Amino acid sequence: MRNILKASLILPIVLLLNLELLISPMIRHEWGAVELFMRFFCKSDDLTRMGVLAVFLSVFPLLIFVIIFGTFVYSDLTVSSIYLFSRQASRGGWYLKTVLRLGIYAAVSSLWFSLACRYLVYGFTGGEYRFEITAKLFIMSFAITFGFALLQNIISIAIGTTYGFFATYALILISIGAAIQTLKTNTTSLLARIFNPFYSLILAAFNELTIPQLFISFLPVGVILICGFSAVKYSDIGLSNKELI
Amino acid sequence: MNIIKTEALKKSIKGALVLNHVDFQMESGKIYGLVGKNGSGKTMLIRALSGLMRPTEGRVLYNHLELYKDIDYIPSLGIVVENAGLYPEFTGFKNLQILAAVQKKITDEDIKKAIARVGLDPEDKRTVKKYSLGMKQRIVLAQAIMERPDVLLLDEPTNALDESGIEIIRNICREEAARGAIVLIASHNKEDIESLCDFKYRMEAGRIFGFD
Repeated sequence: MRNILKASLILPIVLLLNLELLISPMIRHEWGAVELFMRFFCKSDDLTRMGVLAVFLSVFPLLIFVIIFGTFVYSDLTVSSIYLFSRQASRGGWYLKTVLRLGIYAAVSSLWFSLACRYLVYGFTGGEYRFEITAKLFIMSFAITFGFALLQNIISIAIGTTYGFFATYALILISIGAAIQTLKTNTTSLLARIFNPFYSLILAAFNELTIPQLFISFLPVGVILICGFSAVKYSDIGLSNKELI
Repeated sequence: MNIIKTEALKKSIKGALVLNHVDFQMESGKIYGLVGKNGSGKTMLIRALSGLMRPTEGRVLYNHLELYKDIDYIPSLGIVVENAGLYPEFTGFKNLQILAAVQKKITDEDIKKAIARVGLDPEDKRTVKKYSLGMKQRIVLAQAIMERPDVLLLDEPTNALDESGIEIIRNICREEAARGAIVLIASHNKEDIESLCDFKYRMEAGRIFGFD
């Protein structure tokens, strides 16, 4: 229950960061959905003025999840790891159960984020593609929260929490920068367009993300899952955190 | 009768050989002692036997099943390892409840009995972070014995304990061996080993020798 509440912290943060949209429903009548999503994600209606910081602030509620749950898997491996692990039938089974719990919390966070986005842009009613857009936003938000939280956990398992945190956030900032660059230049590079979850998230908001693209965007999450399984299966428990050596 | 056996066990960490060709065997109902200085490899051996540390070479067999291949862990294992802790924000009882929930073999009453057996109060509402070092050592021992394991591996179990605590450890080791468990005690203190163990070994630079 405590973790569900932590995952739900995203809702008040999204609303707080978008107070203008929240308290001025008049804006919805003046702007179309595309312009509203631009204001939501970029804090500007001018694509050429889109900046990394503005987009970072817009997706920051999702990144709060990464901060809170970035050591969720890792902590079991270090705090009470030896006594927990010596009771498990298999490491793989433990990993899958733990990752499933992380996935549930990521889904809760993503649901709040996508619903808040939808409300801020469309209000309670209105909008031709509101369900489709909300669903795609939810899926891409989940890919970001779950994928980056798991990544931070795995890097922490492999080389320590400090490196895990900085490496994950460096990758997040690079991904956001790359997403903005892709939007501005309209590059056709598959790597830039499909494998960047932040680019896919913005496309989802503008209802330009196709179903095949949605599935392909999940491939990096699958890779991270497999890497995590290997890290847990083959690492030395209690020794993988270098502080213990 | 349960048997744990190591065959040419080697472990390298960052280029250093922490276990070097370790061959030995343990059987049910006996107490085995391992003495050695800090850094001799006692803790590493216990971790390797527990399924926590994959050997670089060699193997660990439990009743002819190979650890890290046929099984991930010894099915019924109690372990006390130096520098391993519990959740500081929970009480001793809550910590043991969390651990007991993994295998679901025992009841809350069994947990309370284990806590009382090590000389602590099962109703103590203090969190583990408020425990003294001796109390932490005792609650860690309680989690090792609460499920009545077939194998009990104790790394420096008498650390931070007073005379009464040390006597409790000795009695528990004798009782568990009498019940049929394999008991291994690793200690840098020779007296712990000499007074208690049926078989004694010495570890030095990752190698195991007979005790002189």
